Amino acid sequence: MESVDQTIKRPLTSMLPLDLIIDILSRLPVKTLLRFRCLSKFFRSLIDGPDFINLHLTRSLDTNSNLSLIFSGFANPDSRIFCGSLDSLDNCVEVDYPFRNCRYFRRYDTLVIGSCNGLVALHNREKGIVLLNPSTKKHRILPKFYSSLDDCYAYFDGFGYDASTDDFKLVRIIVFNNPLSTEVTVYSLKNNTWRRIGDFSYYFRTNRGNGVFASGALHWMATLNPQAEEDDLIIAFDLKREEFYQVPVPPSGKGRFFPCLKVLRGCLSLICTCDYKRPCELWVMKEYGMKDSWTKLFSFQLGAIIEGAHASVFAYSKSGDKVLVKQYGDHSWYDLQNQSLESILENIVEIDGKVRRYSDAILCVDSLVSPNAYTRTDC
Amino acid sequence: MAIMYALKSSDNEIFEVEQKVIEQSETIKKMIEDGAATGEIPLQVSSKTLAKVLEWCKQRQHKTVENENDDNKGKRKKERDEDDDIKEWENKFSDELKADKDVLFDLLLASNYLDLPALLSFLCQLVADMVAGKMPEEIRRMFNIENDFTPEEEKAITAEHGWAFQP
Repeated sequence: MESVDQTIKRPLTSMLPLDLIIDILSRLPVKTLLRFRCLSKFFRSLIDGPDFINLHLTRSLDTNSNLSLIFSGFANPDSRIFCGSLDSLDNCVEVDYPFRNCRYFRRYDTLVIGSCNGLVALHNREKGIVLLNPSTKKHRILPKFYSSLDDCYAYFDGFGYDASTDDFKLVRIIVFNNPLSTEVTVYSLKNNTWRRIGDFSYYFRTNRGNGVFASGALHWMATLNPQAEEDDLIIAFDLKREEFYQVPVPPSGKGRFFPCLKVLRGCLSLICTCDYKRPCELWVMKEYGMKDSWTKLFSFQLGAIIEGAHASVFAYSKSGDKVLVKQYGDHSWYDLQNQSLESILENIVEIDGKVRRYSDAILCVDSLVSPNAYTRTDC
Repeated sequence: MAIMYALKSSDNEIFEVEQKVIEQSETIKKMIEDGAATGEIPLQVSSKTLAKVLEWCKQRQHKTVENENDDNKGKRKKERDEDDDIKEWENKFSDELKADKDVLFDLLLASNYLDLPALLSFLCQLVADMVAGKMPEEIRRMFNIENDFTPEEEKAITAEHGWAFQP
């Protein structure tokens, strides 16, 4: 019944107050907003303005909308990245970015470091790091890291946002062997430089992914005991103060295996098993930093249990009654009310008519945030 | 006995409304609290639009009262049925507004003036859903927006995100 052709009496901009026009625009998907930039000069400057970009981002995060999954880690032959809306995961599109044609070698594959406010940080050992906004397809290649990673034993990256200085930061913890030493370095998008800030006084028992951003800090699982069987501490790096501190772990029961940090609607979360052959548990810290606020949301088990494999969790559904989880390659919606898994989706996307499996997926909010808008012009 | 208020539209039509219904409007609530609402309350809203506003407020009021009267037993199923009813009502309300954009925009302005946050949010989302995914040319026509770019400028801006103009 919608009569598209009907024109309203007076021009929109003289009819509606500015705050209502802004309210309506802030509810639109990024693709529509990129189109509406050419409506008129008024709309272009409004949509390009930092206040509007922030409002749009905040609304998307608050209402759990405009969310996408970024798929990476495809096997042979390339470093391609795909993006699909959380609402329609079977409709993925390729994201163009500078390293997409890098040939795949074990050492030179492209890894997703993390995602924050619509920007995704990607690392390729040969080419370096790129910040990419998959929704606007804008990117920025970071200056080359100051030393070669070939000399180090391991390195751990994390990507987040410091609201106090309105700056994106990338943190790299490097571990050297013989003799054992560490180095912590922070890249600031505003200053466009890498800066060494000190050492890391904990140990990583396993390499279970990159830093997880929540509540203004990056988080890793680590330990103080180099002989520990598993990482048993949550170590946070405050992006404002640029200091490490410990965050309480969930109340201890039995041992925890394969602990893996995630973030769910801004809350730090932990997936683990309490026994090799038991289902995974998902814990959520409802109030940041409060040990008592750790809540076991649910346990889940997909398929056969294989020792050593671990699970992942991505996002709440828009209505908040389901959680997207993954274990051994397949992902699935967990219904919180019925406490059951439903509609198992295979971890595949179609590339050039061929179905391919990915190994990594990360949640990213669709935003207008530009990786090129932060750096001071004198840098 | 419910307290009634008389609202007078800009074209001098009187609407008798229960206090509870009309208090959803922060503007009118404040007038009542300040003692400024004696006799008829004159509003800068046409009778056609005011009728729509009250239709919304009554539906919302109905929903609130029913929830208060519920006991917990069997609430879930009842709540779900009610949610379906409300959805259906809202869909009908939306369809009518989509069919006549002038009424839609008058209602937007009225909900802004009367300070009805829930209706305002509902209407903003309705307009957003109507325009999402549309092409600039269509939106300019729909909303009477003048294109003040030169053809060269427009071409350049379009080219910045050319892919976004594909379906």
